[in-house]
Amino acid sequence: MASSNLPRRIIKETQRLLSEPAPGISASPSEDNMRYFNVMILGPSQSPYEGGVFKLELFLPEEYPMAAPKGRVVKFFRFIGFMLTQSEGRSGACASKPMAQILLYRHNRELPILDLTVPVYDVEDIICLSSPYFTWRDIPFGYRSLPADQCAFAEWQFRTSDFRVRFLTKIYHPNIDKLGRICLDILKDKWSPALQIRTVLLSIQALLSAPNPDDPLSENIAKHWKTDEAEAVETVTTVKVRGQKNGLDYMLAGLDNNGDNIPIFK
Amino acid sequence: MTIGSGGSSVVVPRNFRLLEELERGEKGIGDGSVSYGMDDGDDIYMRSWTGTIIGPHNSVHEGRIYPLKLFCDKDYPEKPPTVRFHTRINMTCVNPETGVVEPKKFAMLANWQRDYTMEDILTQLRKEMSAPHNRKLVQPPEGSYF
Repeated sequence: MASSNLPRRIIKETQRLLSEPAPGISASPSEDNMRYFNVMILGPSQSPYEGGVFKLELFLPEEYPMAAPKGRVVKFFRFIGFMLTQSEGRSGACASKPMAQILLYRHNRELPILDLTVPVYDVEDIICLSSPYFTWRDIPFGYRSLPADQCAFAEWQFRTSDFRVRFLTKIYHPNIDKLGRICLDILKDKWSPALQIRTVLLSIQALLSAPNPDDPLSENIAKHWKTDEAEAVETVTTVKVRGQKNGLDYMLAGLDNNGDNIPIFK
Repeated sequence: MTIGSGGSSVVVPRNFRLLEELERGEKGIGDGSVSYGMDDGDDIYMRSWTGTIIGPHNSVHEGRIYPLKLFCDKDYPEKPPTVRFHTRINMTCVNPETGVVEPKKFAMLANWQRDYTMEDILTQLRKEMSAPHNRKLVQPPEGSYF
């Protein structure tokens, strides 16, 4: 893909990544897609991941470095009531999905009677409801009833970062799931356009040094970490060594097919 | 919000495209008449998927549930996935011996475009079930497999 279409900021970041790589991190764009990066991170020293080489992939979405506006929906409905009292959902970056703000107005009122922030998935559920009778049925937690039969309309709008990065190397870590997806607040609701590829990768490297089992993506691994950290760390090493034994570069290890014809997909 | 419609020159790479589809599938689609999920949660390349179609009303397929396999190879979404029915079904675009949806007879696969998704395939197949040439075809007994 011609780099002529590429925003200047991405070009500059790429040049700097190549000319002054951060210690223990390499990132280079793919030849046919300058927004798609092959990344390697060395396991930080004095961490369980020391000695490991971790391969990641990273994609800069169209809106980068801005967060993408995800939609704005206004719907009229007969308000039959329910209101968020308190979020009982888990807090923290891993648990939190991209958040959306919902404003709910009584008919002809200027001030919202409801101003709440819910995960985007739930908002999409609401949007999916084509019925003018709004039930909030699909919102999973923490709502209580308001007087029925009040005319209202709701407005939704939300922004989240589409910055995508994941591990391709199998890794045993409480904040990384089986598909290599990473729980990191800056990748979600804490995204800021001031962040760069470099800062994100440094944060991921730091996450390897300091796993955060209190805000897990992989519940089982987090539990393991909390109950017996020494044994969990041992498992990290086992996973790492098993990868090397398979006769593969560790970066491709962890696939259970013993390394036969491991495809590298774009 | 359409998956895969990255806009002008921005191409979402295969793996991230499949992650988007995975997350959408996990959330559940519309009224649930089609759904899909990944077969092997450990496959970092997300190749093998199971889709489900609930037979449409006003057709012989009403009340039936059709599981099918979708296989997204390394060239997905440039190329369409292979799609194969698990349970026997009598449909013009489905090979009666193997259950494979034949691209030549199913326009969406024949004229595949990068921004089509597995959801689109399932939805289109469901529409196809209630098309005039399929709606009344005699069906094999329920629960028989290819």
